[in-house]
Amino acid sequence: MRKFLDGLYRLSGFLAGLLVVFIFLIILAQIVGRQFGVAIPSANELSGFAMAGAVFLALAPTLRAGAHIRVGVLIRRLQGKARRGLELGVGGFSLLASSYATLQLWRLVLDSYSFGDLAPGLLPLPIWIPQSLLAVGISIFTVALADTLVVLWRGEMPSYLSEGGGQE
Amino acid sequence: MELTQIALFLVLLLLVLLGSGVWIALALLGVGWAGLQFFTNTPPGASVASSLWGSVSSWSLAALPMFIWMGEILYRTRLAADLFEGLSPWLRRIPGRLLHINVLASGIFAAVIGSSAATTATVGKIALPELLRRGYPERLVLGSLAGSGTLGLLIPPSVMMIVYGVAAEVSVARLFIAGLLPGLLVMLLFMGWVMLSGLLNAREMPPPDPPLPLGQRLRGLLKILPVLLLMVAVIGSIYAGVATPTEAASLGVLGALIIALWTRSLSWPGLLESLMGAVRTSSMIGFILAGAAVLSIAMAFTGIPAALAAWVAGLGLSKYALLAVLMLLFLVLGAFLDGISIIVLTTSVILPLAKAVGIDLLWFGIFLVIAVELAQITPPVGFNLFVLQGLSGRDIFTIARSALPFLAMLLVAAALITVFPQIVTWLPARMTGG
Repeated sequence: MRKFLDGLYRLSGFLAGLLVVFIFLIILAQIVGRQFGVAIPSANELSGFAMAGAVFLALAPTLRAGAHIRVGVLIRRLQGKARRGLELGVGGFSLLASSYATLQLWRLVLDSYSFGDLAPGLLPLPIWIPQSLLAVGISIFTVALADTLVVLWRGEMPSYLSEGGGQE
Repeated sequence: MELTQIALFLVLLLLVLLGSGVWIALALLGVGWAGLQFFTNTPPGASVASSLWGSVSSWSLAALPMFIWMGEILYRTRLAADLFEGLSPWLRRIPGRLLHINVLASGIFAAVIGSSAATTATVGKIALPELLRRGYPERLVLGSLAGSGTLGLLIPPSVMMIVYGVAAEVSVARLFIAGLLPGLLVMLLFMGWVMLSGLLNAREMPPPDPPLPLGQRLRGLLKILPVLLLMVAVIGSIYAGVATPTEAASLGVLGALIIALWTRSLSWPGLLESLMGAVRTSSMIGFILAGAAVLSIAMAFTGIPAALAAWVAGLGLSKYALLAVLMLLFLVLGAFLDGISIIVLTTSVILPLAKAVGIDLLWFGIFLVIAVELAQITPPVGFNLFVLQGLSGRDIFTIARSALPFLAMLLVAAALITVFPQIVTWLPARMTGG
């Protein structure tokens, strides 16, 4: 299970990395193309979609790396039971909020799919495709939060939550 | 319920969530949801989803991972060491001597790197050990490093300007150009202070190195050439209207890659790590923008920002008084919050107010970025302080105390651009395109 989850987060981060490289290449292609009078269809829209996908697909690995920021002034001063209690409360709230966002993003994907919404621009891309990258990304993030909560519940302190992690 | 009570409830909720250590993006999202659910007739679900999607699927925002990636690559090259070697022979005679390197190198790196923490880390990892080894007083070294690092946000490219531009719908290209002169102004103020403190602390300063012959000094400058070319390519292309910030950023990544390959300072694992570092930072920032978008739409539906704007407009405060109050608010917020959160909270709540009293949103962006720079060096939460704590092993309060004069200089800069707004608006008005 541990191995599977870690693999899932890594895969999610890897996809986000690919999307960033995709943005880099498509924008370069656009610049080069312009010199020769060739336009890349919907380059701007595509890089915007890739950006959205990268942000959300990287949510889980960013959480694992302790790179999502929070105000740690209070929580870092607590120790032992108090710290664990507050971390559990914070984790519980975060799981709830993230689950809610996950549900709403999947609904958005379904709505776009059933209405057949197309992306603006030259390329008639069904918009549910880039939107589902967000839904997948936040789903994995929700799993990562649940994972964190389980580890906390067992009485361990996830390494990325303690000192180095949760930089503020 | 009265609007005032609703506003107080939401502010309290935000304080509780942030204070207890909930990740900032989720805290903003939670407060936005509560605002929609309890105080408006709109079902929150659809608004939440469309704000999340709309806030990050933006082409302008795609400049963000590019500029961050560029910085991550340059951080791994020898550029900082070259900059130190190239600049130091020219600074041996000026009061404050090599301490000026912190300001100059930060200013130059700021012009190719978008964030102040990255600027501080890149310059600090070379300059801190070098300057201490040569016997410069630690207090002055740390203070000038912490202060100068903040230039990363004001001198374009700037992550904060991208965030503000996207959230406030102001042209990122114009914001970049608007930051140039204020950035130079802050550099001059910092160098002025370094000179003064060099004279005041003359007895603590190490003896000057013998001057180098001119030829050797000029050869040293050659080492700075690649980074200068990169700087001119990125900012120049935006100013000339040849490239959008997103395009300039991608060219910047290409340039950084070429420099890294040329100097053989980037391995495959290093390249991969630079990419993933950029991905993580972009994800962190994008997520906060997404959470803030939910808060923004909730705010707009409740009508709180408009009511706040009307109330403040009714007070008949002068523009200066209002800006002074805002700066004070930013200082307090900046002690506990990071810069991105301050910017998104400002754009969700205070922007209608700024518009109502006739403040130019382009100018306000630069004012806000200076406020955010202050936040980077005010304890207990300040990213530059954390970076230097990691590099020097001193605690953040010691570092913050030594950075205090630079904090004062930033306030002077904020006052100057308020009295002479042309410092901000003159250059962008002369841009082609954008």
